[in-house]
Amino acid sequence: MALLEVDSISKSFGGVAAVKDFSMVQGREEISGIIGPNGAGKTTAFNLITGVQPLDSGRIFFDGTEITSLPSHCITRLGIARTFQNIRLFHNLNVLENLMMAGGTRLSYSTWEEMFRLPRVVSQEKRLEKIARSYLSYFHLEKYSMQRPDSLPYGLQRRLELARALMLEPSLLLLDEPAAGLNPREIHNLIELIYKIKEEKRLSIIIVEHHMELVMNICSKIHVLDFGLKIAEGKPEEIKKNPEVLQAYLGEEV
Amino acid sequence: MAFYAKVAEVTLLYSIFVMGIYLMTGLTGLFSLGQGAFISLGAYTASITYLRFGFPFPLATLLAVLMGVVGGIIVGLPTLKLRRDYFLLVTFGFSEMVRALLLWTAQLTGGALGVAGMPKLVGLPMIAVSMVIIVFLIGNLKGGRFGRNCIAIRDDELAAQSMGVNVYGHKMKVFVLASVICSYGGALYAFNIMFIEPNLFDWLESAKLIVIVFVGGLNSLSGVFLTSILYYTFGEVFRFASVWRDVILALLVIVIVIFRHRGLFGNWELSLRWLGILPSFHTAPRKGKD
Repeated sequence: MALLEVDSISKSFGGVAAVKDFSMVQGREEISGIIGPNGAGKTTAFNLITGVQPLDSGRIFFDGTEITSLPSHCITRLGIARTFQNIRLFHNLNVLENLMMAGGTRLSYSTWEEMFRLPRVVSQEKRLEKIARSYLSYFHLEKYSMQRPDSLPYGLQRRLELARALMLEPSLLLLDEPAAGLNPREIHNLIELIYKIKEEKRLSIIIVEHHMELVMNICSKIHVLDFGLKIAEGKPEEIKKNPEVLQAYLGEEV
Repeated sequence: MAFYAKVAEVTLLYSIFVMGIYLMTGLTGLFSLGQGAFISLGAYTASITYLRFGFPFPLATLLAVLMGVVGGIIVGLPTLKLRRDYFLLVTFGFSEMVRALLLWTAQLTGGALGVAGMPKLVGLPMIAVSMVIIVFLIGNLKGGRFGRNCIAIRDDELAAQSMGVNVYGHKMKVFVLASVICSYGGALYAFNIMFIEPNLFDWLESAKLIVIVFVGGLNSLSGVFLTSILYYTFGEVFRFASVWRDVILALLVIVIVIFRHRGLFGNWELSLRWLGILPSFHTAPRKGKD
């Protein structure tokens, strides 16, 4: 059974259709990509799947349950985590706390217990901190644990955002332009990292990306959007040869 | 001696209000100009039920707290989904509404003449103990999941909800808690100062509480506490210069906005470890970085 099933979702802003009748099926432990020119509706598709924006029409199923009209935080708790195109870390929390914050769903104590800092709270907090530290070392960020995210270089902030998303223990990870702003070496490392987490955490990953090398390298399936419409779907080699895709990217043939 | 006890009482009373604002504006980034109204509501509820209906003081205080809960929910439900600037406007309106209501229901509230005649049932020990308990509770909340979620919401609501936080629900908790602290403080105020009137806690007073939180530092509970103590003690001890108190505060605000936007105390937190007595209270101590 597919992990994520998107059934002809649409969204328009004013009169402009940002996403129109978009469908896709994502299997378990699969990496797929969504590509398209600027303004093709890629990020909107992510926002619709994660419930950040309400759908105009269509339905979405995740792991057998319908998540179409669920609020965003519930969708996250079901197992869909995401990163953002423009990094969105919490700058008034340090690196470690950023991860602990995302791990909040693992805690079972109530606000009342927290108010009085009962032993249950202390022990759970300790356990959470340990988990967060293990993620920090997994992503080679341990020496920055007490720093603020905005004091880290850009590449590390991207990595921290990825670590934070994984703290949620997702089964589906949505990466919104993970390579934006990275240099070729960092992109190379990112590709290896994505492979590694996919294998070790048994994740299913959807990537929105402009960087063709990255997408062609690691995605087993690619969806191409143009002006909100899906114009192609297939394996990387098929997409490379698809005339419609070439036209969308390179313009009309003369 | 009695004078200094009086100063301490007033200072700690106001610091209780500041703590409520700290939780809401400092940690969560919700700007409310309506907290003064919750102080008034608490003070009036406790006084009227005590004087007119003969309720014993503990019950009257409990009713004041309940008033904070109910008022918080009624105001919070429709407004907490609003954008922050609109939230500010609505709470401002609420504050003015409560003031008008207290003025116009003169038969019950005494109108512009206020309410007097409460016995002095609240002394320094009770205020001090309340203060310590409130600081203890907020400190605990700040050090755990609750506080992290507050700061996350203040920094980036979209990212917070993408991390599985029910933003609206969390804001609701914060708002009701802050309202309860203010209305409880209001009840203490009424039975300590022994006189209340509708204009005591207008929106300007709410704004002043917010300013103190900003001067102290959004991320520093101890910093805000110290600032509040300094501000109110200064005003009481140097009565002759109390006009200058607000001038100094205003200057501090300007200096802080320009040079130290994280407040006087930044991220510094007074902890037992800092005092060298015990290991840290919080699991993740922050580095004082600014």
